[in-house]
Amino acid sequence: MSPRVSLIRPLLLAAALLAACASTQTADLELSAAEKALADAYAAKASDCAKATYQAAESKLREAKKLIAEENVEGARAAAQEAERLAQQARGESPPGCDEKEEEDPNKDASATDDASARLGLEGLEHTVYFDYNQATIREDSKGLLSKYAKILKDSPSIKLEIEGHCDSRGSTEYNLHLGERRARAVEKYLLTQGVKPDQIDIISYGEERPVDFDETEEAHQRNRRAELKKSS
Amino acid sequence: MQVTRIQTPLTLALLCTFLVSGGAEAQTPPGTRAVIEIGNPDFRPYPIATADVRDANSPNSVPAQAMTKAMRYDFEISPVFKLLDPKSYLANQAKEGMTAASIKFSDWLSVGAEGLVKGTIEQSGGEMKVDLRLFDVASGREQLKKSYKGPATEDEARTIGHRFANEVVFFLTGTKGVFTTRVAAVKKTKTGRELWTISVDGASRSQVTKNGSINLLPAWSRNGKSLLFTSYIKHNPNLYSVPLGGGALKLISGERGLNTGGSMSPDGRKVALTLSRDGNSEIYVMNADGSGLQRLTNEWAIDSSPSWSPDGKRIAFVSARWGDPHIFVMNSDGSGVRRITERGNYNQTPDWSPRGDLIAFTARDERNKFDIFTVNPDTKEIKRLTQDQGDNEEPSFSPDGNHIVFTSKRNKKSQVFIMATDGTHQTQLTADGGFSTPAWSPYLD
Repeated sequence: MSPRVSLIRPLLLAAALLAACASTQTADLELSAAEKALADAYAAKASDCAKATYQAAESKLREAKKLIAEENVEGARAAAQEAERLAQQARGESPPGCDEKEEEDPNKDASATDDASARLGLEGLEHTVYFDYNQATIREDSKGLLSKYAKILKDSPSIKLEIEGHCDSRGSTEYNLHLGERRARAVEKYLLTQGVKPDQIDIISYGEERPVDFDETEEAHQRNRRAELKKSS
Repeated sequence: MQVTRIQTPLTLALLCTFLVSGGAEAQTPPGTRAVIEIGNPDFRPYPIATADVRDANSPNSVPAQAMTKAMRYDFEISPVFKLLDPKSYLANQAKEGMTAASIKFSDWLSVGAEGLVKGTIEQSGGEMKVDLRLFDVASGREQLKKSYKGPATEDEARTIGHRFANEVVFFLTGTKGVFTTRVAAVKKTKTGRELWTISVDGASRSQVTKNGSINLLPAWSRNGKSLLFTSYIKHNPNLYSVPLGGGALKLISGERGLNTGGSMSPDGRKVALTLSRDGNSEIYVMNADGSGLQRLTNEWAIDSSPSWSPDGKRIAFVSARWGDPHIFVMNSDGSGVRRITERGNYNQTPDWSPRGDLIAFTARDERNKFDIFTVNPDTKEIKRLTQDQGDNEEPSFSPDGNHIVFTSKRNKKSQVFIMATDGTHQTQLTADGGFSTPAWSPYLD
């Protein structure tokens, strides 16, 4: 068999994947902009003071996420943009009284901001990244998600994450504990290079002791080779 | 019933040794000669018959049956012996007594026995007196005689049977048998992982931790009185020690990150372990009380799973410093690092034999199956012990170096198995599954 034949197909596939990734990522950016706007609106007490508009923005954001799941990228982008616009409008509608209330307790404000970001940002995000067999290298397909985490953590410095490293059931208990930690550490390092502060991140490894899939199939192994990003209290 | 009588005269190395050394005494003190040496080119398993232990009150009492069963099990799992099938015995056991004069040795010789074990129990008031003896069949001489006393229970009868089997191994090989030792292992629960110990015959079990957390990687203290292990009980995976008689956990190492693979030095004064506190998994040594921490490795890759050589001068470990995990050996001060496994691309869980000449480990083969191998740390010669029986992992040597405990998924669930160090005599100890990282105890009595 000519090597050229075997090369063409993967190249075409890769090109198609790249194109798909590019358009998804565009919608992702709009989604996170909308999430940010909504978080800002929440922080400005728009959820109380401009309830109707705020709820409309929230609803549009949910719609955008649903469209993403249905792979309707264009629809998702439009919905996300609309959600962002509504969120900004809600924030504008918040009367000054709401803002004054905020300033009475600056600590409470900070945590309210963080809670909002966490609720609207972290909870809406996928919280697992996956790894190749016996590897602890961040895969290209994880970087978009991790960058979103980095942005949220930078915006809300009081949010703390615990990153759990996990392995599939193959290999030894002890080696897998250490491999799992390398996975968690790889995620930590990636977030730090994006400007997240070290004190916002803890890591822990559970090795192969906490699988999400108990089968012994390749698919199950892949689901278990992961790092989970969890908000720590 | 047709019985084939074996008429071949049995001229055996064992018998010759006794004759040459002029064994005139009827009762040779145990352990005065090492006759059988496993691994010797002339080695041949010692054919042994074990008569039914007779209870004076009721011949087949529960303790009598338990004792017979225990000894037969021991001779079955041990590479020292070839246990002759009790169904083949020709002797009229009901007529025979315990003295050499009352035994018709020709009947035992006919079934191929070189050694014959006989025993009696006398019960009174809930107690029993036990008389156990080993005879040399060819010469018709009593070689070993032991008396025991204890409560007339099944458990005690089993223990006495194992103790006598230990003595028989000691008499024949110069090294005590391991039949009263135990295996520590981790068992899955709904909420986590707990530590257990299991007797070598699988008949008795004891739960060591019951904290609902994840408890992992048990290792025995050298006196057999406590286990070192890693637990998530305080969230961070710290190294603890737990006394087996009951009592509080003691924190041994609580460094940030992983504190795993605690392994006590042969003199009991040091603990080798793997820590990730410096940002990477490295091997350290500290005093047994946790003081005097000293780092031994310094590599970008994972270094883990230390196991001491029996002289305490070297440490085997796993390192991925050349890409794939392999077995390495270093001096116990961290110098002289040498790669030992030159085959395969995924070798883990080294355990150094108490005899010093072998390191057992788990390897993944070209078909992605896990199996147990041994490697000679000096010649690097590799031997495969398991094959085509599911995944077999996490070997640990018995204190005499003649057996290895491991886990196997050959029957789906992960079970504890033991085998002889040459891969023969594979025997399953558990039936309920969910076991991992078994560790064979030192001698416990």
